[in-house]
Amino acid sequence: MGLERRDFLKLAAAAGATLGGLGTLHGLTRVHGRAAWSGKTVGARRIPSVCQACTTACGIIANVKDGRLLTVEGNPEDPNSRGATCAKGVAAPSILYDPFRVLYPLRRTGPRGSGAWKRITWDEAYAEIGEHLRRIRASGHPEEFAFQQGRNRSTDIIARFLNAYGTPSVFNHRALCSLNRRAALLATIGESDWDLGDYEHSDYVLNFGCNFAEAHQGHIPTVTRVMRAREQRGAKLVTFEARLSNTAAVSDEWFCLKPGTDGLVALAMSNVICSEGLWNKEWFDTWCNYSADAYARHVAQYTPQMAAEASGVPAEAIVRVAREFAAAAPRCTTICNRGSHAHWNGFYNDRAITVLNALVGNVGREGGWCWHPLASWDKKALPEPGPVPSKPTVRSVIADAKEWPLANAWKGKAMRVGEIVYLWIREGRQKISALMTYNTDQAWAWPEMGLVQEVLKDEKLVPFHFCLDVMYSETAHLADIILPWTTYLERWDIDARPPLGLVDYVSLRQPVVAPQGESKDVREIFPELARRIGGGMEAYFPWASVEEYFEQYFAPVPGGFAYMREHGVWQDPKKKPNYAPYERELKPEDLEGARVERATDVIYKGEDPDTQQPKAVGVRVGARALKGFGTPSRKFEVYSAFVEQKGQEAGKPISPLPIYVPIPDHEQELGDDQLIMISFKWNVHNGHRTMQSKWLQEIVHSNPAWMNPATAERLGVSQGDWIEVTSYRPLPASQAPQADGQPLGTLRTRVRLTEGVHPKVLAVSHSCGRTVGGPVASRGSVPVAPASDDPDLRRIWWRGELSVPQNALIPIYPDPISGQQAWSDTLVRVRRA
Amino acid sequence: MTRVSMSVTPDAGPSLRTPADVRGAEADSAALPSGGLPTSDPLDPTPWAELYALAARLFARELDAELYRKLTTPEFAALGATLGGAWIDAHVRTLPEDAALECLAVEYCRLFVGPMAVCAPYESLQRDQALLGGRARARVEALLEGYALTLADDARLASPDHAAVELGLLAHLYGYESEAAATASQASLAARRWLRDGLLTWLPDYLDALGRVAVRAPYTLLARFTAALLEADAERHRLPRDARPAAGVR
Repeated sequence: MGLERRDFLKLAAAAGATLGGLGTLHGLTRVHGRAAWSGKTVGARRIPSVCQACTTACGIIANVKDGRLLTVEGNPEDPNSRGATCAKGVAAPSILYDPFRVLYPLRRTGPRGSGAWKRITWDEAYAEIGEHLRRIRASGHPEEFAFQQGRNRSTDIIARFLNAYGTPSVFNHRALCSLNRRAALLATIGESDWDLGDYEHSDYVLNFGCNFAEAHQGHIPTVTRVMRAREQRGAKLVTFEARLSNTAAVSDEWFCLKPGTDGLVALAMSNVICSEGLWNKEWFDTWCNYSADAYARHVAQYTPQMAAEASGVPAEAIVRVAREFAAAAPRCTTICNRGSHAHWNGFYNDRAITVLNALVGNVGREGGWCWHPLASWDKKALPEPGPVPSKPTVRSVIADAKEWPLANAWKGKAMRVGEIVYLWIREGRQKISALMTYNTDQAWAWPEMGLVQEVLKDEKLVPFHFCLDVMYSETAHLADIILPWTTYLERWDIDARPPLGLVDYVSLRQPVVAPQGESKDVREIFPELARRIGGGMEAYFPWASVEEYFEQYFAPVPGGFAYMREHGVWQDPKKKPNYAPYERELKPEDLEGARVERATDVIYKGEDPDTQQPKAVGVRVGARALKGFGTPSRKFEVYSAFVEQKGQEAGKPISPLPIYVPIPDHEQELGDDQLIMISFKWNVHNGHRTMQSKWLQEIVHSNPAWMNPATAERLGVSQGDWIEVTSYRPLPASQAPQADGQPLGTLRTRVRLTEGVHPKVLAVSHSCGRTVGGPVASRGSVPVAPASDDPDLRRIWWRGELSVPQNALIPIYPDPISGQQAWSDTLVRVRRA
Repeated sequence: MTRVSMSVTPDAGPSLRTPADVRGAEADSAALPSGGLPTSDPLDPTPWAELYALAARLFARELDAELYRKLTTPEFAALGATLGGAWIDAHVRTLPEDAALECLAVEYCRLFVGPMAVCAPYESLQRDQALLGGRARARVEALLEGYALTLADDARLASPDHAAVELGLLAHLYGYESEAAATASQASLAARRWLRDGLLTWLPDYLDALGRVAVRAPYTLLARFTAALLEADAERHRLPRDARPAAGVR
């Protein structure tokens, strides 16, 4: 007869009683110190820092032994990521020790783009670049030096250099990323361009196309909180998206909708909430600048049936989800970043979605739809060490991009219109004498990448181009000088992201290993260039070392720089979550000298230095003087007179209310072979910067076109078949540059059949189609000469697999009022190849 | 700690001497056997040290004017001829010296530096794994420390498991062999061990690959020269030319 479990328990108890007091019998003694449980790296020095494999900036611990990075794990002290990290973060060693990194300054020796380089010294690079920049600045036209940035997590030093130089020609990629979301938020609440649902305390998360489980800028902090709410609170997650993303896949319900109809669905839900009286009318009427009844009349035109016809989502589902969302209030929230807004009508989509929250009164509530006024660290508590240069006074035609009235409408929130930069350079709208590319690959990552390549190759349009990057890219290929950049594991930064916990914090990115090769960061490069350029620039870089600069920067933190080096992050324990900030009472000193405008109840005090208009500081609600929102009315602006006025000034009417405007290209009668091509990102990739990571490429390295089986049947296409995809520029009604509805480009790719995509959609992922960067980035298309039978590089088993550059097909396609690139609206024709 | 130049020559100096220099005025290139390798006194380590130092220097960095001129001397031409090639292409020799050096710097960059170096001379990359450094780096670093060596400040390498360092290390060990008997004996053992456990485990295959992808001398010849050097040295030490570990062995 065998022993049963209870017998073992008895035996264990008896043994314990018998052997007690004899000490350890198994030969092991517990020593002081932290146990390294399964998965932890043992015997390494643990160095806290901040990841930048993507832009979420999660806190990490680098395990370093004998000067070599072994592994990366999450930093539990980071209040945003709370010890979690993703596959990209874990793959850090493969990026740091990438054998095909650019590790030396290089100068081209043949024609631009010929690929012939020679190694030069840093001194030679500084001399040449410094002389170009000095000459341009001395000419009195500093705007002719253009700076093209991608992900910039070194905002302090970069702004310092560019402002000291005096150039306003700073081109970012915001219009290719989050412009519409930010514009919708600034129009509606004013004080933040970043909404942060209080997901962890929420019971219902309503998602319009946001792929937060994979590609959100706050990826890990968001997904971990949503999943925790689902596990611990039983929260429901409902996703509307044209494709079964990994976020849609982990949702309770996924509704496959036609691209660009998110806002219409939200308006129809608003209609349901209003017409059925499911709203929080009191909150809406108190805190919005538009009455609930008037809004109900406005949204009455958007019926669930109408939304169903346009979107493909059943009307009864729209009604049901609207009811569920309202019933969960105030512990419910929307999320839509990088989903609903990446369309030609994205500004309106996001306005409509945002106002859904006001209808149910969850705004700023625990478990509701929240935000934080600080998108990074508290810059009043931790001011940038002086001397700080003032901003340039000259203007840049391209950066200003006045044809899109909302792109740069908000002071201090200039968003540019990144996708038109190279078109405008080609058109000669602004002279460029020198271009610096920083951490981006616009020649591959921008829409109409072929046009970008054409411009970068033309030495008349861009006479001098230097590129700072970790890896060789399509853009570096078209540079005159390539400077080897440190990875985020070899450099310093002060950093923080919008806090999902609703309390701001600050973190330190510090080198966990010495820079590989001769790579350097801008914190070393810019001071030296400033010295070479001279003319007073050097005065803004008085520190002897980067450490000295950060000693000063982090002095206000208790324990200072030393504390930051040891912990990697600091959060003021006195600060509370930013719940319902609009309800905060103004203090007596705030009201001293203030006046209330009777018609609006807005409280004004002093003058806005930028507009020379009276400065609104709060709003009277009943007898109380409250802070209100950051909008002109100090209310949640359902009706935005500000955007209406901006539209009038630019001759482009903008509705002050959320509306649905169908996408002109999608409104035409589409033939069986006409599909809407959408773009998406994978959880293991982040633009060009992860493409050289073998560990990540091994997971995702191919991008066949997702096609619905019903569509495939109509086209006579089977799984794995080759297809020819021809894209078209938008129709003239889109008001986009070059909008003529004519073919833009054609490529061949293969089909992946899946029910997980809308029947009128062809989904092709980003992060593929590289042709340079080494054998990993180019999946073996770049030859190397491995010597032995057993180099890991030979194990690129996906060598030669399908990988196409989708951006060769995507036209420059801005939202006509904001400039946001419409990534997911391109019309294509598909035929079996 | 001895600070040595990138070529890790035993005398710690940046100068590079040809075999003729080493052997003195009375020695001539006829002393070089077929393949250009010393046989007159196979036990004399000095020429081996110098030849390895030459290979190390060519891998270490681009040619400078001094080395370029040296490679065009009759002694080197003779050595090249025995290997069936030239140290400098006839076409390049027609160019002004600056242009010639730039031309050769481009080839050096294409082969060894990148972007996308077609034949990066790092052991870790060629033999071990797709990450730069790692075990190969640790091993070389340990050896350098053990022999009280360090890389020169002006070394332009991403990792010490570079062919230049590994070849230079052997040159250094052969340099010790000419010292006092006790040291010489230890150095001789160490050199043999490094040849067997280090260079021969990856360089022969790497040099084959380099020979296939190099298009311009001296790098075409460098592959042949270094391979022949290793082969002759292995034979001298009664080692198999290819000492790669069996599959799966690290």
